[in-house]
This record gives sequence, C-alpha cells and structure tokens, in this order.
Amino acid sequence: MSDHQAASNQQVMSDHQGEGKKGFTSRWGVIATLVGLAMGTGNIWRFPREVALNGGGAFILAWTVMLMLVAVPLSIAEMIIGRSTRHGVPGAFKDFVGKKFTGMGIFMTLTVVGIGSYYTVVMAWILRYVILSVTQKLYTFSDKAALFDNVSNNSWLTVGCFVFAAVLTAFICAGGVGKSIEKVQKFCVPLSLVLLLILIIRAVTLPNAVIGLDYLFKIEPEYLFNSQTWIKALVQILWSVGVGWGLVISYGVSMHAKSDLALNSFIQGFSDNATSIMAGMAILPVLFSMFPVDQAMDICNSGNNGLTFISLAGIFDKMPGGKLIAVIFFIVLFISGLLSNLGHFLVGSLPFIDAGWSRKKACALICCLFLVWGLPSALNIRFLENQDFVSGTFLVLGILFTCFAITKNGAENMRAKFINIPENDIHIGKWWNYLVKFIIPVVCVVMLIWNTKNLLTGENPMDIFAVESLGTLLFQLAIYAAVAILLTKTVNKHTTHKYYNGETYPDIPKEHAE
Amino acid sequence: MSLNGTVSMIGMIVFYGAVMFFLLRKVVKSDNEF
Repeated sequence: MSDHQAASNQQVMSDHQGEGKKGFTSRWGVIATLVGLAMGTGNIWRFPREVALNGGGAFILAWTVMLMLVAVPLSIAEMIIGRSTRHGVPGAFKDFVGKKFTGMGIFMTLTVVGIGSYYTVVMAWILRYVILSVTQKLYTFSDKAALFDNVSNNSWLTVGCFVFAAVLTAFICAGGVGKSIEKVQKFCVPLSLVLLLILIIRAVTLPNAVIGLDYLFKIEPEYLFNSQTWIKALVQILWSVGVGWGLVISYGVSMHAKSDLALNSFIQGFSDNATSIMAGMAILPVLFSMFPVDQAMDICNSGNNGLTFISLAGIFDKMPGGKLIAVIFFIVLFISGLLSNLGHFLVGSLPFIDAGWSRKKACALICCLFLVWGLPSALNIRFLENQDFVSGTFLVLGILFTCFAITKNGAENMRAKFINIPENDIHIGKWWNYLVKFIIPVVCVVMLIWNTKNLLTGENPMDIFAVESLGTLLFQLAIYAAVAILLTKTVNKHTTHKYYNGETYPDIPKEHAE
Repeated sequence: MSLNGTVSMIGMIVFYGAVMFFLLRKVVKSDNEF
C-alpha cells in the first residue's frame, strides 16, 4: 500500500470513528443480549425432547462437554472477528481473511437470512397459539393435530401473523443495537426467566412429576458410550448457542474495544445451557405426569411441532391452572423466538449498513427479503422443513469458515493480541488454539460425513424436491455458493472502510454506534 | 425418583449454579468496559 493510500485509509478511519463509540450502553445489556441470542425456541422445545430420548443425564454430560469444547471457543473466535473488523459478516471476512474470501461471509449471511425467514414463520405459529390460548379458543378444538395442520398450511391468518412478526422484529432492529435491541433484551430476558420459573414450579408440583425429572437427569451409562449421544449433543449445542452463524460476529461489532471477551463468551454459553435445563424441568414433568411413559416417549419422538403444538396444547386444559400456564408457555416461547430473530435481522442488515445504507433502510430491505423468502414456508410446512434441514448442514460450513479465518491469521497470534488483553479477567490458554485449529474442524468434517452417509441410505437420495435428501442439499448448496461468488465483487467494492489493523480492537465506527 | 436421578439433578444444578455464580460475580466486580 502506498503512503498516500495509507494516509487516505487512516483519514477514512478517523472520520468514521470520530462520532462513534456508543454501541452497547451497559455490561448487563451485553449479557442480556448474548443470553437472549442463545435463549431461543431450541432451548424450550428441542432440548427437552432430545434429553429424554438420548439418555437424560448422559446427554446433559455430553452436551456440557460439547459446550466447553466447541461452543465457547467458537463464540470467542466470532467475537474476535466482529470486534476487530467492525463489519457485518461479509465485510468481516473481507478484512480479516482477504478479499478472495468475502464469499464465505456472504454464504453465512445468506444461511442466516434463510433461517430467519422461516424462523419468523415459527414465530407466527406461536403468536397464533398465544391468541388461541388467551381467547381460550384453543380448547374448543378437540383434534389438536388438525388444528396445527390448519395453522401451518395455507392459512392467511398465519401469513398475517408472519408479516406482523417480521415487521415487529425489523422495527426493533431498525432502532439500533444500543438504543433498541439492548433495551428490549434487558426487559425480555429477565421476564422470560421469571415466567419460566413459574412454569417449573407448576410442573414439578404435578403428581408423578418425578418421573419426568428422572428422564431428564438420570444418567443412563449405555448412552454415555454411544456415539449417537455425542453427535446429537453437538447438534443441539450448535443450534442452541448459535455459534458458527455469524450472530456473535454481528453483535461483536457493537461491543466496546476493551470489553471482557472471554467472560462474555462463557456467560453466553453457560446461560444458554442453564436455560435449557430450566426448560427441561418445565416441560418433561408435565409430559410424564399427564401421559404414561410409553406415550410420553412417543410424543418426544414426534418432533418439536408435535410436542409443542399438538401434545402440550392438548393437555393444558386437563391440568390444574393449565389455561394460565398455556398463556405463559406460549408467551415465553414467543419472546424467545423474538430475541433470537433480532440476531438474524442484524446479520442480514449489517452488510448493507457497511455499504453506506441507513439502518432503517437496511432493516426495511431485510424485512422484505424475509417476507418473500419466508412466504412459501408460511403457506406450506414441507417447505419450512426443507429449509430447516438444509440450513442445519450449512451452519456446519459456517463453523468451518470461522475456524479457517482464525487459523489463517494464526490462532496463537489472535490469542495473544485479541483474547488475553490486560482488560480480560479470564485468561485463555493454548487449548483454545488446538480446539479452533484441529478439534472443531475435525468434528465438523466427521459430522458432515456422517450426515452424508445417512442421507445416501435414504429413499431417492438425489431427489432435489424431497424435504430431506442429499439432492436438495447439494442443489441448494450450489445456489448459495453461486450467489456468494457473484456478490463477492459487489460487496468488496461497496465495503470501503477498513478498521481492522491486526493488532488492536478499533473503536466502534459511527455507522454502528447506534 | 431414583438415586441416580436425584444425585445427577443435584450435581447438575450445583455445577451450573456455581459456574453462573462465578461468572456473574466477575461481571459485578469488574471495572472493565462492556
């Protein structure tokens, strides 16, 4: 770089950083946001099912190990990338890894926008159940499976709720991280924790609740030595904590240069797991109290929707105080969905803000994108299930990209310059280098091979129109990759400001100061 | 509830409670930026 260019870049940096440094306004705000980001519907409706089906306490042990081996190191890695580059995911990859690799960031952004679009549909379903439980119309339908079928397929009322959920999320996101998202998280996270506590108290005081608690906590030794338990624990932790998606990169953009990165990552991971255990204590005792053990296990096998919208919805009016509990349950679920979806919106909008768009304009565009992309999912659950399946695999690629980014810059170099800075209370040892460079990538590759092997044994593995097949996966992978490659030049051209200096965290630039 | 389940439940709650207590105590005591 010539002296003139360097001086010019320096000028751009100082111009942009001059009015910056606001971002998050309190440490509690950062913590609430990270907890809210991690505390999604996956904790409430996925974790209790998985834990009951995979050996209870044995699954919790495997899942805790995965938290420390995979989720926390990845969260630290993402925070480094976001905070040192001060860009959304594509711009972050451009500056952190190199212009040739911007496509990796675009790929991750597309994946998260895809997830957010159908996640907003799930929020719409939950909203409909909030209304049904508040108005008590939920109890006028004797066949809850038919009710859910009605809600999730070709219902314009669901489409209306979908539009409302997308606009609500966009409205909050458009207010900025410090001014709006942080305030919402600071209010909603404690509220949903209190509501979850009420659910736990009701659940554990039901007759035979201990059977559910036994299924949650009892350690079944044979599951502890079963590879399936560990793989499922890993999948659960990735979905639940939300690492490898670029969410933490995007929130990292608004974190102050001297904030305690390692402490924030540990809090994000452990509070996610603690919330999941709380959700398990709120749901499994209810299930095992109201159904015989065999039937309760069948319900756990029936998937997230079967558990939440059919089985639980069908028993609320049969338990003492159940109608109030139903309202609280669906409100907690909606709040959790909203808090997670704010992150999806942020990931989608930041690249446009990096390109000079106003935050409001960027959020309006992402809202439109969510509505267009999510509409088929709102009208047909099979489309949603397909998108859910595809995104799950693409997230693993996101993790590999994150590990590659750190490795290319030198894990030891990153640890010395960006993690173990004087401001950090928690010192991170060399174990982090080995995890990010070797262990996590190997685990991801093993997962991809295992997944491919399972898909090859299925019926019509290359059918691109199947809900779950290798064909649909490869077909959509090709589309995502092509879009990422096509957009690389445009993103490189429009993301003009460079804050990354490879040595220290820059201050928050003015475009991300809100 | 089985002995295995009871011991495991207490163990998990104590472990997660202690870790969260340790982390949040660090947050309260810390003078660092956020």
